[in-house]
Amino acid sequence: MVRINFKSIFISLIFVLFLSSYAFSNSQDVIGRAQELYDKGDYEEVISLLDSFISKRQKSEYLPYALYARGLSHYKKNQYAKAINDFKRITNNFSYIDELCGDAMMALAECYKKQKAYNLAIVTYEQIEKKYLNKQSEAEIQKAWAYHLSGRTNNATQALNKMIGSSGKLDSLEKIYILASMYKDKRDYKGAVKTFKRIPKDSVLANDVYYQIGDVAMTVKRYDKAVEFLRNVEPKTAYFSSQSNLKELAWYKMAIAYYNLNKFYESRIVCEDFLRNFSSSPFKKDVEELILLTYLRQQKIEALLEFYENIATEPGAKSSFDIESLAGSYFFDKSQYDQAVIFYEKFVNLKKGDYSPEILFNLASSYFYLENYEKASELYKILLRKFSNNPVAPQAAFRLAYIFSLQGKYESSLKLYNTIQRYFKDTDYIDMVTYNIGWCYYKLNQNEKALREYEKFIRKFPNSELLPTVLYEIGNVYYSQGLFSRAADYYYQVAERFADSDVAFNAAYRLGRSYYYVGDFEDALKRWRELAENNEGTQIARVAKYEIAQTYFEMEDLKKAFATMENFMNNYPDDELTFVLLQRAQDYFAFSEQYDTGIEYFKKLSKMYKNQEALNQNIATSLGRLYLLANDESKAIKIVNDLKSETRGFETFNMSASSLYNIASIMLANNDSGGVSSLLEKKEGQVVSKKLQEVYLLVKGEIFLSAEDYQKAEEYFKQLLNDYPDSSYLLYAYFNMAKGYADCDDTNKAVEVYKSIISSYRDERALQAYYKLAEICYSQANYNDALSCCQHIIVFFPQSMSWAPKAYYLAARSQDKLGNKEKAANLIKRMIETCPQSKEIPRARQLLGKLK
Amino acid sequence: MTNGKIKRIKFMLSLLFIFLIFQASADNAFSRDEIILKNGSKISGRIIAADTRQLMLELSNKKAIYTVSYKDILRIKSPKPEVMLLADNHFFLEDYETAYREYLEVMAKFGPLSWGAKANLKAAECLMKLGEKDRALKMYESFINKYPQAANIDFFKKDLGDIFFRDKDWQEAAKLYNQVALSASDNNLKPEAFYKLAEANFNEGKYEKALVNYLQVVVLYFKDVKFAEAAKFKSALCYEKVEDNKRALESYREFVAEWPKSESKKGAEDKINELSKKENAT
Repeated sequence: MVRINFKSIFISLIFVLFLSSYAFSNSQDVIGRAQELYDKGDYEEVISLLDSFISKRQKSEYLPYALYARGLSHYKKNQYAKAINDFKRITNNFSYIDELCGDAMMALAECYKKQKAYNLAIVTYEQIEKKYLNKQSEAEIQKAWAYHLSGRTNNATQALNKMIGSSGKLDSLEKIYILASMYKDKRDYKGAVKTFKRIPKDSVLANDVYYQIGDVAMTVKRYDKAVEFLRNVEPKTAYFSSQSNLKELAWYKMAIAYYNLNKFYESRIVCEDFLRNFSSSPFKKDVEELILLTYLRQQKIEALLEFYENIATEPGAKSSFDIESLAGSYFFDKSQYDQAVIFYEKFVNLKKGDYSPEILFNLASSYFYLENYEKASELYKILLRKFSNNPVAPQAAFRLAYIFSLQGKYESSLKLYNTIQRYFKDTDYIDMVTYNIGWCYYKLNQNEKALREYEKFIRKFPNSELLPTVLYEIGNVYYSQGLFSRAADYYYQVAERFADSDVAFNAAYRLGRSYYYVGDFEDALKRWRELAENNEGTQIARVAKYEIAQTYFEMEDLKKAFATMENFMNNYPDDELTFVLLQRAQDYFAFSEQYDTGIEYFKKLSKMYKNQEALNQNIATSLGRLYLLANDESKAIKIVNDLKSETRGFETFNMSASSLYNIASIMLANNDSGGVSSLLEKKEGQVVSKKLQEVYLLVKGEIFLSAEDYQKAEEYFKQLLNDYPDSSYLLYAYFNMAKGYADCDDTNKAVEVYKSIISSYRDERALQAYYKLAEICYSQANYNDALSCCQHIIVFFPQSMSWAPKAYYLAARSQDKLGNKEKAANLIKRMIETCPQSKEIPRARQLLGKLK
Repeated sequence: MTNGKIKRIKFMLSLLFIFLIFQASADNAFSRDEIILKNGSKISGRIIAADTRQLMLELSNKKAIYTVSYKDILRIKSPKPEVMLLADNHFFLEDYETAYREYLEVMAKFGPLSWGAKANLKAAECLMKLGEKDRALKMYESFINKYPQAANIDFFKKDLGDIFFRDKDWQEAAKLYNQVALSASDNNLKPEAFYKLAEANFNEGKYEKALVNYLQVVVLYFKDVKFAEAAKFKSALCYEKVEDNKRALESYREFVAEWPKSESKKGAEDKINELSKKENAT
């Protein structure tokens, strides 16, 4: 704010007058002392000295001057009421001393202004204008200023315009300056700048004008202009308080201007210069903080910390700076959570509990985004305990609930979600809360509740962005219950209505799977073909192509199955799914006991991919396994030995899990359990993939099984079944387990295992289980069940060369035992018709003879 | 200017110089050196010798020799000694050997204060002119170490910095320029010191440090047009070196706007075209 100073020259004049007159008195020493004290600024002493003089020399002709000097001293001491008394005594009692009265009235008006008695000040200035012509101009300006300070800006402008009108132009630079300042205060910045610019650059006011225009530019955010003017500012001021250093103010603002222009080097340069020149400035800490900000914006963290360490050693610095919090928030806003954590942690440690819930929330959330859920949940819990009524509390609860659900603590999660749903219905993520409740119920296998929550979601939030996800999750609930048709309805909705949503691909994939499970292979194939075509070159296409091949296997359309498999292998020769398909093909030949056909097929594959080293080596192991199953052990062993030498003891063999199993089983057949153990240990030592872990468990189980340590074998197989429920080696584990139980005569357990196989597999892989189960039922004289199992094989897999004849024969024997001799004979006849080459034929004919 | 003209000027100056010496000698009989002490008192007399810690003064009445410690002296008022005039003239006439000897005489009399410091600087300069760089360096360094509070210490440092700069010893040069830039009592020295500090850092490949120093000239000493203009251009170059092409482009544009008549304008415009193309390409 602009303040009018008393003119020191006038003060001196008064003293000179006063002293020269007083020199004839006997109090010369007192007066000399008063002047000395006034010059030193010791106004208290001046007042005390003159109090005594005024009280003793009431009749002195120098009394008015003493009063004026005392009034000025009171004014300097901000004792305006006392100053007013002295000035009024002069104007009332000594009106004949024109010059002194004029000055006293000016001082009186100034005191009124200080007391914010603007009306009195204005009236006084008007009196001065009328009485003292030599002070008219100054009084006019000050009156205008008083109007301005009282908020009567129009009167102020009118007063100034009157001045302009009377002389045709503003006749003093001071008037121009005041007018411009008024424009500035009225926020007429254009008018202000235009008026300020009328003051010549060589005038005494130029420096103040540079500052003022710079200040206007800062206000209107023209930072480039602000720099242009502020950089010219020098310390001296003609119009501000004499205690102000204009350069100090200008430099402070210029640093901010550079900062806002994103000129961080320049901003820091000005700040550093500021600190060198104005080390005791009240803006010092702001400037230091600005330096820290520039380092932050330039991400010069080391320099920032170094600077911070330097300023933090200053007394009282730590309490006023929250650089850690500042830096933490900066990095948090930029999603650089690792950096945010460093600074927030420092801050929280420094403050020892004296920090805001927002800081705690940000720190917890940083950990949350960094997936350090332990730490995040710990902090969210503290937040909820300490600041349960804070607006961030629901969000903290929401995050904590999410973490609980990630940790499998669905009950705790549900509690929190329900609390949010009940008490914070208006939060903008309430739809997500409802969805998550449904999801938790689903995870807790409370499918009805989950469905109810999802249905509620659909009713309440039909426009939510989460709707496709909810539909997809409903599909998942039905899918998990084996209700594939219902699941398909929901997946279909997502895939068709929300094709752009995040879950659309997953829904389309699961839609295909649902069709697959209900036996609607054509629709399944259609979905996967669409996925493959629409997403060519992506992982989605890869998986879809794999599923197509797999489905053809399921449909027993072997020509297409092998063709699509080979096509897949051409596109993805070293892919994990290629090896799964190879295993699928191998399993097909193994479980249908078509070993010779399989051997021929894998020989063909070996030729086809002779240039694909890794693929070819994996094909070789399948070939070995088929040789083993076909009882041609020597060839199988040769293959393994060749591979071993070719790959430096399997070191360089990029071995798939199924190949590992194939090699291990051949080694076991060759009684080389040491070799198997060493092979597994080698693989175990590496970062073992999930698949290799599965095979490890399987082979370990088989080693113990062959050593007849059934208990240990069972442990490994069970671990495989429990830990890897999606493993493609489950079937092997099941059969091995069943074999183990059968060897121990624990028939009931064996039956359970075979039933598990039957419920899990619907293709030829279940044939053996059906047959084994039939055998057990037959041995237990449960002929009806035995018959039923055999009928399943005969009806659904009549072409199976291995199992169909066996099933016919066992079914005939069962019918025989049930007394249905004719039915038994018919079965044998059909067997002879459909499987004339089977090894079972002689035995069957024998039975037929008996039946007749 | 022809050699003949130069000789004539030198001759005229010699005449002027002889006249001045005559005047000085005449004055000297009556002149007084005046030492103003920090406690406010004054001592008048004639300085007769100085060492590293104190001055010896023959008092005006010639009845005593007074010793004053440098730490008590606020200011010395002393007319330029005649031997300094002689030395300056010999320096001007490129008779550096004679000038050197005479400057040493002044040094012996005034020590690090007043004319002594100036003589020391000039003596070192003479040695440089005589190609005795090592001796000159020693002289600068010894003065800086002995009299860190000397009035013209910053000139010593700057000159010494210049020597290191010419020798491409960027680190030593930068060290001295940095001292001058940050603590010189004479503000006029600072823009040059900052600029040369920037140049030393730039030549050493420390582009970010150089950038900051150039910007210090641009921001704090923009009124010193000679350095500010060059510094602005070089700051843009530094931005290029640190691969901040966006800022470089902006700086070249600011340069052209602020110094439209600069000799480097064309260079800046070429850079603007080049960088604009790069920016468009990306």
